[in-house]
Amino acid sequence: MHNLLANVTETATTPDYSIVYGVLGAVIVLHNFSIFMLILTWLSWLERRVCAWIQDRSGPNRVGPAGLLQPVADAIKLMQKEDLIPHHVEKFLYILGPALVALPALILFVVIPIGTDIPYEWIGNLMIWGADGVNYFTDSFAVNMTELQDFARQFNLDHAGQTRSMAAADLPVGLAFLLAIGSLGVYGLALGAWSANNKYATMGGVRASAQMISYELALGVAILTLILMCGTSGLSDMTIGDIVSAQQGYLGGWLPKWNIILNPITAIILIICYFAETNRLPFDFAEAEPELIAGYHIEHSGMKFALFMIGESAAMLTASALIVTLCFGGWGLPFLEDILKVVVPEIIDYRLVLFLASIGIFMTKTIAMVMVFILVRWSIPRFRYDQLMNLGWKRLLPAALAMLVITVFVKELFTYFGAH
Amino acid sequence: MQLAIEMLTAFMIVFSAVATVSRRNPLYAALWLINCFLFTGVLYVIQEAVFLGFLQVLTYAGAILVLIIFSIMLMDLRDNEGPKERSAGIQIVALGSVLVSIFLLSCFFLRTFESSSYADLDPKTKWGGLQHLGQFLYSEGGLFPFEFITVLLLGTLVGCVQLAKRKEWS
Repeated sequence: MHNLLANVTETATTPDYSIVYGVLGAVIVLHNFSIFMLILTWLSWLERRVCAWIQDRSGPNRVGPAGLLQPVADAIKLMQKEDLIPHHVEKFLYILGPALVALPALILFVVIPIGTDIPYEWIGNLMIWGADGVNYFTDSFAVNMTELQDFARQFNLDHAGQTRSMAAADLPVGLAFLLAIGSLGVYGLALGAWSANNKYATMGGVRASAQMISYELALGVAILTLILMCGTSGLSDMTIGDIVSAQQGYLGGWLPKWNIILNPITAIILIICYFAETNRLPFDFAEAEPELIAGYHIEHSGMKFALFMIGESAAMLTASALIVTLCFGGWGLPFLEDILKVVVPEIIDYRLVLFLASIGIFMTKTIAMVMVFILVRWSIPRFRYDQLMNLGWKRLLPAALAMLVITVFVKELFTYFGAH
Repeated sequence: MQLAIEMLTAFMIVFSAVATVSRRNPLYAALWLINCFLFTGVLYVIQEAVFLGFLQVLTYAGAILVLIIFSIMLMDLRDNEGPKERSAGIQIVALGSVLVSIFLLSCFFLRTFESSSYADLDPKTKWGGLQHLGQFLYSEGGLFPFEFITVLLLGTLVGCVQLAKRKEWS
């Protein structure tokens, strides 16, 4: 009985904020998802235009201004096509494969913080202002609105100094999540390829699964090295937001502490591994045109083929966002905060300007990384398969392991001499 | 609510496990096994062992099952291949499975494990986190089961070599 009473008084002092958390979370999820989809839609256009530019052609430039409506036209065409299922395929997996391809890339995007953290007091202030606005125009809800204002003030008091990450889900095990879900990416491709019951497709699927297994090791070790550099708390307690925050300082007062600058070899290993994980040239052995005709998607047509292509683009986009987050300082830009503190007038909270700018910076950096993916695709020829395996097992994995050991050593050295 | 989700997850694990051994097509068996591992990961996550859950997905669904599917894709599968008649020892195997199931269910209903050290681990302290997991594995009596499992794996390895070995020389 005593316990019961204690519970009642406790709930009376701290109101239930779950609805605020829920709405905030839903808004952030919608925001991140629409940004992802917006870039994804025009990725095919970007790729074709850049390819044409490299090859001294025009590329798609007729539909809409500069060909910007080409993805829409493509989508309409592909959806109108006959939904063909050949009689010799494993029907269930044949349909499941394309659907599975884009899924891991989409899921992985939820742990990426695409902007600075939001202070909870902004949310409370927004509620107070909203209530004020409603009170100004109508008197009928007056009682209700005062209650809301009290609720918001209490909310601000309870969350003083706390922030909400801009990642849709800021998991405490963000990096384990990254590796776990990223390793599922191969299934859609391999299953779709096997179900097609075609020699070329099966060859593509076998190649893709062997390749992803090989490069996942070096990728995992490289990510471990970056975790070690950014903190000591370990894989279990470090969110991806912490890795971004750790990269915001300066080395010697002016050089940004981005991982690509602190540990360039590991960062380059990471980038190469992500090229292999996304099956992009020079690692696109799953669809190698001269050998396998079209590889894993040879029997898929219409919208299923389009899903494979969307999956490849989504994987490339998520990989770019992850590379930016892990190696290029995420949403940060050197000295931006210091400049904004001086430039922005007192009336406006400079953190608000920083927040809006950080989303733009993150998108710009991600698109720049996507451009690197595209430029590499049209510049470097495909490896031979034995070269791929040699690179993965004999070069990248030992190099990543060596960098792990060196990083631990250097970090301990710095800690010992107190210079870090 | 949480209990309902746990029960559903547990049911899906058992269902997937049964489906794994009852499929004739090895690829579908492997897919059910992936399903089983994913739901096991979900069960860990529900019980606040988030790190352990993702490690389960990473190791089993992400790496080992890819290798299994890789080897299945290299095999030359034909329809209606494989043994049609039942193996000789299937009655013994079935009896053994039933006995083990009864034992496990009785453990569950008699709450045998409640007094063990596992029950002392408070779910709210995130005992599946890396630190707690490491401490448990290397200090608090977690070492013996861990080493025992490695011996089990070694036995499996030897058995596989024995099965795959050609018998020409004997």
